[in-house]
Amino acid sequence: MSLYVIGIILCCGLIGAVSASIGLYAVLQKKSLLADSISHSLLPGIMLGFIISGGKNPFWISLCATISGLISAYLTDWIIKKSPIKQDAAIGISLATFFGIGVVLLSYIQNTVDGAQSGLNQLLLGNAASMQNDDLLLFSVLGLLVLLVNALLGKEFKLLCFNPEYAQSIGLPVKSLQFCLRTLTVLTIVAGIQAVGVVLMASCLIVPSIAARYWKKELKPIHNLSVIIGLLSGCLGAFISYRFDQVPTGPLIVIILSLTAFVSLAIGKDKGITLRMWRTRGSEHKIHGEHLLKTIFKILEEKPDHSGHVLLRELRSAASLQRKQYNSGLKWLRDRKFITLYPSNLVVEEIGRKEANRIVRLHRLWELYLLKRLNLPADHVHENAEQIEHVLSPALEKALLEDLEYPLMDPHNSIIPNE
Amino acid sequence: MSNDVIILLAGILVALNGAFLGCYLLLQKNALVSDAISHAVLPGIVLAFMISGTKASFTLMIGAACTGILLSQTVLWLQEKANMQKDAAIGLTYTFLFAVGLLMMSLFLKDVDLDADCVLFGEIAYVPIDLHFFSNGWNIPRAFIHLSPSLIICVLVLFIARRAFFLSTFNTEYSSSIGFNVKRWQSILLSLTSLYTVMSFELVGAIMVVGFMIIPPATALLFSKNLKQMLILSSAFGLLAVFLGYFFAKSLNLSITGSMVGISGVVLFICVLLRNKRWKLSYGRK
Repeated sequence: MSLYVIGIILCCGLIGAVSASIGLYAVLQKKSLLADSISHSLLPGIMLGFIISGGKNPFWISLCATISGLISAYLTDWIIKKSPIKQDAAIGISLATFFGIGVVLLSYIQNTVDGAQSGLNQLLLGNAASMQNDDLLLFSVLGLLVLLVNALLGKEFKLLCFNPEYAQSIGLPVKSLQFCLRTLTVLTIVAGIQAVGVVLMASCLIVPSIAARYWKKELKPIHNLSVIIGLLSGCLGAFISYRFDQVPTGPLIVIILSLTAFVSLAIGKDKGITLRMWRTRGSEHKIHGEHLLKTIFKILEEKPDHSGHVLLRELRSAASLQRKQYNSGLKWLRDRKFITLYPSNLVVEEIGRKEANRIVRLHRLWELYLLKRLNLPADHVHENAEQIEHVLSPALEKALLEDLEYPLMDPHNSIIPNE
Repeated sequence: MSNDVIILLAGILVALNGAFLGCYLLLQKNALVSDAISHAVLPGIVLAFMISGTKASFTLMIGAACTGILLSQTVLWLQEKANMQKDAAIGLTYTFLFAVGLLMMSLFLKDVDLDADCVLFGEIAYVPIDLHFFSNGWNIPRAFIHLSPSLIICVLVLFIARRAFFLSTFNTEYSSSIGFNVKRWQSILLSLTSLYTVMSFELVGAIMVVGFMIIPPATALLFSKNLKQMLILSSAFGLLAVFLGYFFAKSLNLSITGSMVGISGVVLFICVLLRNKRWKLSYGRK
């Protein structure tokens, strides 16, 4: 690999990192799609820059594209403010209008300038391999500039995203900050037009933060992780696109980013789907287990010999659970050593007995509480107690006991077991 | 028929269909889902072209429309199961599908006349050249074969189930509370949208079709008091954009679709300006 190729790969990595860093604010403000609208709206600016400079001059193209992106963003705001049109429609309107004007200008260029426009299509879908030395320099400088400003004003931007009213009340220049953040967003997208292309740049902004949010809770770790994701995807996309030269860079980077996001939402450590399903399943097992324990308690209550033996057949017919739920509940009880299982019967251990006491106590206390304090009829209290018994904390239990003055009997004249 | 008339007719078909669908999409606050669908059908379209070679048939295009339905279901699923905010779910899904489509195109479709320009810009000027020949020697532009069924299906469904669409558009909380399945009818509307997007794809491209769906209804929204007025006005604004855009593009030899969408947007900006002026005047008089 030559130095030039390494330069391209690093530049793509830088663009990925910068856009991830700036894009986090767009996601926080729930304006991910505004980034999309802005990136499409750069098209007329790019074309104007081409017409003004009479060629593919990166400086003029970047300047005009920035201006056109800003105009589009402010027009969107203006429509929302001055008319009954809602935000989503306004975003779509500026996107389509600016893109349409851009296409008109492109057809003008194709009519007048011969052949020289060949580079313009690459600005739509991105082709890192076509970057010249001055492109690399300009886009890297742009990226570093955005990073610098972001580092200086990061705190203010965060405040602006989370609580703009508070930011205003402590005297921050909210409007200027908003303008600054917008400009940074537009500049970031401009920095990516050659490598990723205007159509897909929005993805580079928002997807890293979406992925990072499934792993971390606080803002700073989310930010750092999303920058790393952006950096790596940028480098990897550019590298693959360089090795297999048929493959355009932009789509490749976006696919790598999106796959990262899909994997994150599947197995993420903080909010991932698998983890949440696992947690839900765990609490389901617990609920079935506790339900069985309560049934066991009732069976033993009717048999005064206190041997602790319960026939499985008896338990199965007494428990109002489906087969699967019944099995998972038994397994849960066995794993916690509450019971010992034998082929046809089970024996309740000492800790199991205590746990059963606790659950039945909670159930009956709650029934009593509903009856006495909330004046619910006695035949209505059972269902609610069935649900609440699994979640009542020891502190609440104590409060209930005190409030009901340490009762002995529940509404159905059963004994409330004590510790 | 002269070429002008054929192109204008194709434009009218696209504009009317877009205007009808757009009114409901806009009022259901699903404008950006339509934007997402228009990008997301690309992999389906590329697949249709890969299977059929050069010219994708009507049935294959219907298959491609399923990608749009897939997108809207994925977005819903991400919101409900993965706790993602709506804008992020849309942004993630459609950029991914669009990128997949572009990649498939650059890898597998080198010999077929479907290139990036066609995907992004469409070309309505080719409508008179791209003909479909029947066995008895007659021929009509292929675009009509794609667009007229889409328009007819759309109008029929919207008309027959007008009450259902009304209920799923206005006061959705009330409709849900009386046991009406709002989600189902919103999904049907999104399916119609993907059908329309796929069928008009070769003419106006994957991005500017949004302009036909959102801009005229939004302009109509500024002036209308009920749904009927809005439907009529938005068709009128859609047609206005088609005619102005066509003659503007024709006289200066520019991109026809781009001019139609661009002019449509400019008309909207002017209308917002005028509307605010009118308000100020009437307030002054009072």
